[in-house]
Amino acid sequence: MTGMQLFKALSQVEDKYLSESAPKKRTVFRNKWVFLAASLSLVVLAGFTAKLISGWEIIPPPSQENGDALLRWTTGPYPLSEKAQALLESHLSDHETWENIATSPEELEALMGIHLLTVQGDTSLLDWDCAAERKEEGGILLWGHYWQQGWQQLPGKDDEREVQWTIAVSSVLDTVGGTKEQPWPDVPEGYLSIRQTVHLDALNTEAEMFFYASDFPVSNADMELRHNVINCFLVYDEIAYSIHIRAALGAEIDAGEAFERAADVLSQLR
Amino acid sequence: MTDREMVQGLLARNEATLHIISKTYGSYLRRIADNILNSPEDAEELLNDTLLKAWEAIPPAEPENLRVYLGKTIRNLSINLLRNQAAAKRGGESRQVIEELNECVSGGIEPEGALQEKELAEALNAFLATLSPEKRRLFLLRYWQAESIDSIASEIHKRPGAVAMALSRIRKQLKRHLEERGFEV
Repeated sequence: MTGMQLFKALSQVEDKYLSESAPKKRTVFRNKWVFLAASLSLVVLAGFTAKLISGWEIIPPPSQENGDALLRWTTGPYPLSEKAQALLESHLSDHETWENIATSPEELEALMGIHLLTVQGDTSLLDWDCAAERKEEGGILLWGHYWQQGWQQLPGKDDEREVQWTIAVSSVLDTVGGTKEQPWPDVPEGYLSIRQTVHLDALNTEAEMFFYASDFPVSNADMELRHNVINCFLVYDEIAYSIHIRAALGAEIDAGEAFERAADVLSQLR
Repeated sequence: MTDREMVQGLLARNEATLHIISKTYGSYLRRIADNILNSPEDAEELLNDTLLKAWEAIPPAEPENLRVYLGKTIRNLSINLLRNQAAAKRGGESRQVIEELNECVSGGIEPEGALQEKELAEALNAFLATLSPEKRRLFLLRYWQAESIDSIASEIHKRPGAVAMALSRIRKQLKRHLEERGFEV
């Protein structure tokens, strides 16, 4: 059989399916990003309202020039183990490492400032427009991540997503010294996210990742809320995002549980 | 004017209806033909052929969904023209589309009997039934309508890379589906 035969046979597709493929009418939420942006606005509003009511302490957003501020902000209100603290500090102070990742001074600045990542040698993996767009909308706290060519190169066909997940975990384990049982030992989210992208690319996987949080005021409660809302977003996409669920919520919470928590938070917001 | 009214117009042998149909669905139909043939001139010609065929076929035919009916007609006409060697060399987006579909099959020459084609069509419809509406739409935009990845991405508000990835996964699913049904892929 040839592709042409297949192409021709598709002429006999049932009408009901072809009716579905008609251009869709635009709605207020034209796509998931618009929905996410709308959700984010809600979260921002909730955060400010909460601050007004309770006077929670607001931790300032990171300064692009100040590594210390970035460190405080990245770790947020969560206590870190000594090991995690050391890992993070060494990473943040090691500009050479950042420079190895960044492909330009501008990228280096972005890496330090908003954790916008790219991989050396391939700026096409970085979506600056998308990041900027989110910034203009205010209150950025999205993570984006998708797979392209690497997906197709993986062995096995029973459940490619599972294969991808396993490999991704293994590659990070080498870096942070975790185990399969506890793949994210005491490592803060930002750190893990960065390492993941770099190592996924080393696996010849074309990966893209952009932004989380920029000028979003973060209080303890916001931080908790933020994690859960992130997971709401993740429900929209596929397994690659669950890596971030784990990174955000910790190894003891699996994706299913994270989704449940996300649903709870969403219902509270509504 | 609704599809039903346009069909009624054809049934009443009202030639002005053809103009209305052309105005309503012309760009959609031209696009299908142009995607497949990469030739605006051929697309325009096939649009006229499609309208003529509709005029000849209705009545007795009374399609419920005129858009789909016309779309199928122009797609068939385009494929027939594509199979002409000169057109095939030129190719359009369909060239890439067919190459992608080749991933799902053996590429071996098999008789194109009516039975085989019917079985294949049934298998494809069964496969489409297993997909979510979103994936089905994606698949049909690419492999039925021969839309480019970029244009699909724009249509469904996703990144071209994400569209290509999703299509790749769907093709793998299709390959498995055809294998399970005894097709030599």
